[in-house]
Amino acid sequence: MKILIVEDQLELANNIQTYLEREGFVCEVAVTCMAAEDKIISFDYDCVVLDIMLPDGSGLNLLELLKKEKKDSSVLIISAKNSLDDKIRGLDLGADDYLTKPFHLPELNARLKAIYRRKNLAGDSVVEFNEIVINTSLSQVKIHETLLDLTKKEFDLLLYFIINKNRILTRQAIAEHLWGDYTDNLANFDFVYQHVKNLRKKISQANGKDYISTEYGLGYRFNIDVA
Amino acid sequence: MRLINKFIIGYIVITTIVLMSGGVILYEQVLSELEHEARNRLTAWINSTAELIGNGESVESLANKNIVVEILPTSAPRVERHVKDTMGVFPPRRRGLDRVLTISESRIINGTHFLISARDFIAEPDEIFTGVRDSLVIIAGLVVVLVSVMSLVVSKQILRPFHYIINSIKKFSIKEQKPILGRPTSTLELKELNYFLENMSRKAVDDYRILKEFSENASHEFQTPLTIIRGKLELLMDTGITEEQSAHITAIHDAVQRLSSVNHSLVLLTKLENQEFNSKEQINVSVLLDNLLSSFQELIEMKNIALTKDIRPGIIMPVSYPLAEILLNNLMGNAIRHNLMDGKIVVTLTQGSLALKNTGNKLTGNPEDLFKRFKKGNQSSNSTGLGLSIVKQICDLANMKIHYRIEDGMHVVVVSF
Repeated sequence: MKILIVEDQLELANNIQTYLEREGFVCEVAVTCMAAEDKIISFDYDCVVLDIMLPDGSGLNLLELLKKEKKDSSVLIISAKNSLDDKIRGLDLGADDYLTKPFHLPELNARLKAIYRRKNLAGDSVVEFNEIVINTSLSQVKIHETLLDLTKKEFDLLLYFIINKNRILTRQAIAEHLWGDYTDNLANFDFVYQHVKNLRKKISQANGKDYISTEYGLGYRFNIDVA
Repeated sequence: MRLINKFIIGYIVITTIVLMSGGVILYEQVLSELEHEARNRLTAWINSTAELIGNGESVESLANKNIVVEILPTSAPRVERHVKDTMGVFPPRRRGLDRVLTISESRIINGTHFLISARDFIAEPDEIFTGVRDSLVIIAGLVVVLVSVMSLVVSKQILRPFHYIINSIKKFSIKEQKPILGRPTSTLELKELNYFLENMSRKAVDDYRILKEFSENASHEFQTPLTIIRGKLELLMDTGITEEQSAHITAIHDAVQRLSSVNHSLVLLTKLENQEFNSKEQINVSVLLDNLLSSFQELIEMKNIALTKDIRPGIIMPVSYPLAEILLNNLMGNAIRHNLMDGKIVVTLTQGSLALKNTGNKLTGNPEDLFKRFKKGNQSSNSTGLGLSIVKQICDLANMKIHYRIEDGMHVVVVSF
C-alpha cells in the first residue's frame, strides 16, 4: 500500500512514516500544499493522510484536487481542529475517515487498514493470522474453524491486536480505540485488563495459541512468534 | 422602588413640612393682623365719636350697634383705654355666640365725663384655622397631582437615556463582543455614565477576546507537540527496551495522556463558550441514555455497582446530539468513577428532569465549587477536574439548570430542562 503523508510538522510526519513503514507500507511525505499537489498529480496513492491546517493553505483544497484529478486515493484527515464543522465538511468532500490530534499511531494504522479493507476488499473483508480468521463485515472470528463467541468489544480488541501485531499497545491506546473520545471519564484502565483477560481465555478455550502477552507496565503485545 | 417614586416621596414630605409650618405662620399672622386692624378700627370709631360729641351731637343719635356711649359722674375715676375679647351675642345679626372685641375709654368732653365703647365681631381663631387648613389641603392636593404628572413626564423624557442604558447593561453579554452604547443626552451625569460604561465595556470585551484567543491558540498549539511526543514514545516502545526503560516510558506516556485529556477538555470548553454548537436542536434523550447505560455496563459490573433505572420513554431534551452525549457521558462517568465497590447508582429520567444518584465518598470540598474548573470533590483523584464544568457549560448553553445535593448520604445531580 502506497501512502502520502501531508503534514507540515516534520517530526509528526516522521512518526507516521516510521510506524507505517514497519507495517510494510510505502510512504512519502509532503510538508506543504504545493508539494502535496505535485505528488498527487504525478503519482497514484492508495491513501492520503491529510492534515487540514497547512502553512500554505487548507488541506480541504487537496480533497477537491483529488476529486478533480479523478484519483482513487482514500483520504484520512488528521487535524488539531476537531470542530464538528470541519469534520462534516471533510467527510462531505470525500474523506474516508477523520482522526484528531493527539492520536495513537496504532489507531492511525487500524483506521488506514480499515479504509483499505472497505475500499479494496469489498465483500471479502477477511483478516487472517495463522489459525485465527476474522471476517470484518460479519464481525465473526473463527479459530480452527470454530466460531468464537466474542462480545463487540472483544472482537474490536482482537482485530486491533492483529492489525498492530507485534507492537506494544498501551492500555490508553486500547481504551481509546474501544471507547472513543470519552475515555477521559474512565478513572483507570482496569477494564482493558478485563477485556484482554477474557479474550485470551476465549482464544485458548478454542485451542488457539496464547499470542497476547503483558509488556511490563506499558500494555500488551500480540506476538507473532509464539511457540 | 423606582428612583422617580423616591423623588416624589421626598418632594411630598418636604412640601408637607413646608405647608404645615407655613400654615402655622399664616394662621398666626392672619389672626394678629385681624386683631390689629379691628383695634385700629374701633379706636378710630371712639375718636370720631368723641369728636362728634365735642361738636355737640346728641349722645342718643350717636349710639348704634357698634357704639355705646354712657355718661359717668364727673368725679368717677378716668377709665383708661382697654380691650375686652369676649364671646357674646352681637344683637342684630346672629343668634349664636360670636367673638366680640370691645374697646372702652372714658373721656371728658366739654366738662362731661363720657365712657365710649366701640365693639365689633371679628373672625374666631378656629374659623381662621379651618380656612387656613382647607386652603392648604387644596394646595397640597394640587402639588401632589402636579408632581405626579410632572414626574411621569420627567421619567419619560429626562430619564429616557438612563432607562435605555440600564436596558443595555441588562442585555450586555461579554460573549457577544459588543460594548454598551448609550443614547446621546444633554444631561451631564448621564453623559458621564454613558462614557464610563462604554469605555468599561469596550475594555472588558477586548480583554475577554484576548484571553479567549490565547486559550484557543494555546490548546491548538499543544495538540501537535503532544501527538509528536506520543508517537515517539510508541515508536520507542517497539525498539526492544529494558524493563527500567519501560517504567520511564510508561510514566511519560501517562503524563502525556493526562495532558492530552486536559487539553481535549479545554478545547471543548472553549468551543462551548464560543457557542460553536447549535443548541437549538432537540433529541430523544431516553434512547440516548439507554444506549449509554448499556455501554457503561462493563464498568458498572467491574465495580459491582447496583444500577437502578427509571427511564420514561420519549423524553425530549433541548440540546444537540453531541452535546447530550458529552453531558450524559460526563455525568455517568462521574457517578461510576466516584462510586464505591458494591455501590449504587439510581438513574431517573422524567419529563423535564434527569436525576443521577450515586453512593460515594463524602465530598471534601465546597459543593458550590463542583462546577468550577479544576475543582475536584476529591483532590487526590486523577481526573481532569473539567468534566463538571463542561456539563455546566452545556446546561447553560441549553438553558438547563443543574443542581447538586446530598440525599440519604448519596450524591445527587439533577438536570432540569
